[in-house]
Amino acid sequence: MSARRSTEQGTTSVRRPSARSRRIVVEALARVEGEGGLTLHLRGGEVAGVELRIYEPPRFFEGFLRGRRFEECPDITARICGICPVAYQTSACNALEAACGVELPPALAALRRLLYCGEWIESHALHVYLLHAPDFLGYQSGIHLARDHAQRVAAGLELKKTGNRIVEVVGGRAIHPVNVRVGGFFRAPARVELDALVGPLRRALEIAADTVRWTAGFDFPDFAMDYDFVALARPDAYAIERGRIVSSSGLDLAPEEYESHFVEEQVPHSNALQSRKKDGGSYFTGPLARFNLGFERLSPEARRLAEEVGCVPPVVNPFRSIVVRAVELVFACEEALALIEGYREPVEPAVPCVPRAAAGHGVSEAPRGVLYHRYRIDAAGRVEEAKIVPPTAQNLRQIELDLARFAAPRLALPEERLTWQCEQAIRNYDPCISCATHFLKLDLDRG
Amino acid sequence: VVAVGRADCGDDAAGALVLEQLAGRLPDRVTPRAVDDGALGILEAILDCRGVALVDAARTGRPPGTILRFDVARRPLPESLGSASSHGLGLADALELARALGRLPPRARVWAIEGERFEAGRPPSPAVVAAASRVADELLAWLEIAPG
Repeated sequence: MSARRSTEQGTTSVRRPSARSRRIVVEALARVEGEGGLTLHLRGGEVAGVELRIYEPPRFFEGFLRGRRFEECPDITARICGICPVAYQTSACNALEAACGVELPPALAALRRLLYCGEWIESHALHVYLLHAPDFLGYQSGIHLARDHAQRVAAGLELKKTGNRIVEVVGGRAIHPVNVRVGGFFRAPARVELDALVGPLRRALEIAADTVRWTAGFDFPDFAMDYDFVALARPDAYAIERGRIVSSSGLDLAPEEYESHFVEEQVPHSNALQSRKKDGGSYFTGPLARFNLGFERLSPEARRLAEEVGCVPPVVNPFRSIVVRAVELVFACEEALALIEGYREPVEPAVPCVPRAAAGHGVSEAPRGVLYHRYRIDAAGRVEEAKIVPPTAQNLRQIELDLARFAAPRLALPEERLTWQCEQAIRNYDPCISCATHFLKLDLDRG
Repeated sequence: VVAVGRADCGDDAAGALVLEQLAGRLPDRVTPRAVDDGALGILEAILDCRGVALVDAARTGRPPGTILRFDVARRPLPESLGSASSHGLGLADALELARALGRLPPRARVWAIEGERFEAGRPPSPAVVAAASRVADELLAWLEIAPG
């Protein structure tokens, strides 16, 4: 607990320097992970600028990975986020296994995918039920929603709990799992442990299907943009724990080509770096990108439900991302059930990874989008350089562009209403600000 | 009995210290739990219990070691004790969510111990260690267990 006040709706102030210009400041964004605010600059009735101010302190993870053993990276980077630690562990493992020239055998790869399904279920259920649905139904928070819709919120929490259970059984504990290692796992779960997840997963699948129908009935603001979607793709499956990087503008890249096409840059108003394409354009990563680029590889029930509610690609209204997350919940439950059914206890829980002087690149689909890791290690297995690009940092520029376009026709709304709608637009991306403030270039002017 | 907070972050260990004091002194009907993953972890720990005692660290500007007590079954935690955790959801939110779901235990009490340092890796301050011992005794009395 602390004396810092928790705002259910972000605090707002309006500054009016003149009749023709004004500034709307949302001091603290609510229902997002981490600490950030928003400034809209208005001139003559137009949006002159948008600043998504990430003031959560920089965290310097890449700096303190240097000199550590390569085996430590999955557990250290997992600490970047309590919501998506599996994503960090997986991208780190992918990168370091690539550096060691190791590929996981199918049984271990399947187990890693199952663990990741658990994280998707946890994260999406939290966002859909407690963070985003209240916006659409006119509630200040998930708690206010629960007062009128107790049964539904309880079902959402049950869904989340099932995700937690998967992460607990495969990962060793629900938050910051301890069972993941470069090359696989410390211990492979027994068949009987996974069988115990089947009943809860079948129930979770029912809840997820109901979530699709429920969210599809919401009213969505009329809004669309011409996005360049970026996601991972695989020919054989909906990409989660690995894949190539593809985009709606035609990119098809191996993980090691990521930095040839995307760059991060510092902006004055934020502690988080912002990514862009090297040609200068913004892009959009996350559930909407995965869905639009990988719809055909969703599980049958997920696809059928999406079609039933009229949610089919291309979905270019980001407010409909809540429906897409619900579809991905269905997919993650079905996929987890299939992986458990096909599970054969591996002979060894991990394959040996012998370090060599090399660089390795790894990507995976965090609940919020593509998470890129790169490590350079020496022959003794010490990390010489690390780079981590979280999905929220990749989306920040796009969020600002969305806000500029979205706010423009709504400037006549009462301030409180405009703030609410802008926050809702930000929550379309389920931003994780703690993840995004992973690095800041520090310049000291000593005179 | 639910201890909220990180045992390795200075005075955030207040709850964990109380659990240490209670080790071996709780009957089978009382389950000790340590939760460090925010509102939903707390929620899972308290839903549908017959009674719950929660212990957390607080940072309100009072002298370190000050003990604050709240009957949360009767009314929400005061706003001045808002939460500081992931997605802005913390103890107060967990309690209100449980209340909204109609599943807040009929007996629910929070002990909050004022801390002064919360940095990772630091030990708890002496004032908080002493307060934790007093809270453990109060808690046993509340549970109607004679302090041993």
